[in-house]
Amino acid sequence: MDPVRKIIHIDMDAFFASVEQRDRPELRGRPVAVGGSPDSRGVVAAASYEARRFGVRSAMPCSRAARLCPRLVFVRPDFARYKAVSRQLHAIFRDYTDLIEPLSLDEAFLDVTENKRGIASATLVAEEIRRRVREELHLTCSAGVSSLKFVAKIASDQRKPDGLTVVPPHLVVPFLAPLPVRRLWGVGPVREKQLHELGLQTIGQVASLSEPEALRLLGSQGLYLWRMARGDDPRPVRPHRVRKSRSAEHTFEEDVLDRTLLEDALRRQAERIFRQLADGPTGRTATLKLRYGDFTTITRASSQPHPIPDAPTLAALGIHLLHRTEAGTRPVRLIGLGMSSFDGPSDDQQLSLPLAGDD
Amino acid sequence: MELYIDRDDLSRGLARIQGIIERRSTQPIFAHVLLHARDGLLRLTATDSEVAYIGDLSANVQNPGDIAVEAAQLFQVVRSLPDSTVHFKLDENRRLVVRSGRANFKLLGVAAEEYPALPAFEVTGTARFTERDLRRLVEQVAFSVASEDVRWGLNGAHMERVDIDGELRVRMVATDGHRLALAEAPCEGEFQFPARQLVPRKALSVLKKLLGTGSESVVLEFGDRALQLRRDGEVFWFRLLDGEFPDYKAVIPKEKNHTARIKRSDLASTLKRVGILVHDRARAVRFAFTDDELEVQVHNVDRGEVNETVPLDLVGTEITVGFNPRYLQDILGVVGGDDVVLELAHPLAPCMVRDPESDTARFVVMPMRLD
Repeated sequence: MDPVRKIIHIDMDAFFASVEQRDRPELRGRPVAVGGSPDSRGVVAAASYEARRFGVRSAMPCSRAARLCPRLVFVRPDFARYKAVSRQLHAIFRDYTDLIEPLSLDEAFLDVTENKRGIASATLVAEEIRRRVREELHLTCSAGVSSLKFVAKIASDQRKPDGLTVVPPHLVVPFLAPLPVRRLWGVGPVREKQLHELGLQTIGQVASLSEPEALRLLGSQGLYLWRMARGDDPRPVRPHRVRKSRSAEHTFEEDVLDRTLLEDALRRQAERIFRQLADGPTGRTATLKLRYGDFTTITRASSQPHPIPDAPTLAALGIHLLHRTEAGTRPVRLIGLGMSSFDGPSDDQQLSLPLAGDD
Repeated sequence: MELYIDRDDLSRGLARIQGIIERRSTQPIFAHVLLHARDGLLRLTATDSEVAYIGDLSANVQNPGDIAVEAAQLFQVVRSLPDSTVHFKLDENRRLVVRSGRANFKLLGVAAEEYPALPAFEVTGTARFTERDLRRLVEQVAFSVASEDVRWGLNGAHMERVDIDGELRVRMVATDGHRLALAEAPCEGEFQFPARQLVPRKALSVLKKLLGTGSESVVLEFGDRALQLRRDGEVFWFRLLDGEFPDYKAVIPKEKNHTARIKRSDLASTLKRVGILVHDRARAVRFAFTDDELEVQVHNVDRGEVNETVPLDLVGTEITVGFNPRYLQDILGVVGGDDVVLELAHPLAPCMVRDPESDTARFVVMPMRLD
């Protein structure tokens, strides 16, 4: 059997907003939202902790954020700069391990079981990384340490911002037990509702099922939830994930006719896809998936000559594809947005006309 | 409804609407053509709600009436008919009975009331062109229109009114971000344009099909957010595209340090051959302009090499530039004239291409970086 892994999940605190506050002193101490302007239809990409106190959250429509916090300062995102900071962050990680699995620009798993510095304690590695991020990048991050990936991820969220939470192997099950089922990997609103209907509110309640009960209640597809609840997550830290596509889906509680709700969902999904993308390349193809109320599922795709540069562009393509469907006249149960063609022909060598408004 | 009509007239009429009907629309009615018979005419109406076509064909109408039938199928049926005369009759089950020689079809129809009404059109101005000039205008810009670009305004051709030395012209400009086409056609008439006037891609492709190369006159009618082409017995209506067109004048190069004059057919045939080895449009073709010849070169590690020279007249110093040959080929296909002129400032600057004998069209192509 494999030795117990030592996994650290590092999550930068309000990353985009913190980078802005670091580089622009006039923003320090003020509620900051990185994203569009309040009158735009965009969503907040990141909110500073000052803004979060007003209830401003990422992926929230900018107009709503402005209502919640009238003093909110909107800052245009500068992804090139965030990517540069992310590269500096990864350079620090690489001093300890090459087993790095980025989840997004500001979040990564590190397997430090055998680290380059020969530090026996993962907790000490996490402390050192946090110190160096603070001293070298002038930013703060939160870290979770555990033998399991998803536990490390939950742990990093426990003492945010600027916190460290360690869950040793023998405490994994008691640590998870009181948490709501929503915190399990792969549980979204729909699955959460199903679990609640089964009387399962906490991870501990899921863990207390016997295997036959779990199989009967959750189905063979859902058995992995039971395994995770019992502290069983064999997934290793995978350093080089080669992505062929990225996608996000959302099933509505009730079927949706209102096109603006669908468009909002696409904007959030585009933001999520780009957040997960980390530093990697982007794709040229946008794919829209719709499942109507009668479970008919359709997809529509549009390919661009260039890699899709940012989330608003991906969202615009998705909304454009929505026009080619019956959305708005036929109830929609599920909406999904995907991006693919990451390595297709790119005419990088082809220069563009300097049209105004172009990047 | 009952009528007799010439098969070939009908076939030509139905051919015109094939580019308008939407076979894949979510609304099946848009795949239909509305047949409306009265006073010795059969009127065909087709629309997808963004463009619409109305064409009148002479017919021997026994009984007036109307019905909508699936357009692609009717076209197929009519083309297959054995006799030169076609007999249409509506039966009591709202089926269109089509008879010609031994052929006897009964096609399911939809009541005319269910066919979408075309929007009212109020003419605010008109411009009269010769058919050939308007066709050339459309042809010279249509290929540069972007397709499904997120910069929404690029999915149409910008249109404006210009006065060149007292001559009234309509100018169209299209760009996909890599190349730009600007063309003008002289016209007569009374019209003013609103600031934004974008002709969508589909309307351009229908216009190209409808317009011939003759010298008869055709009229463009301007309305609120829509335009109409009017010709004897035919109206083509289209909605204008909503979107911002960029300040195109800013990207038309003003500087030139190298001007090459080349025989158009020489360059076209060279590019055609060179294109055989270019399968990856990400790869630039090398154009080396020297004092007396242009050397065009492709080196494709997977496929081989091609190297050709074309005689030229060069004003200025020698220069080497990379291009997507497809972009130049598109221009050579529509530019007209015996010779073509390429004007360059430097290897990474936009290149102007034009007919040295004409001022009605200019084309701009961005080069590619050479490795």
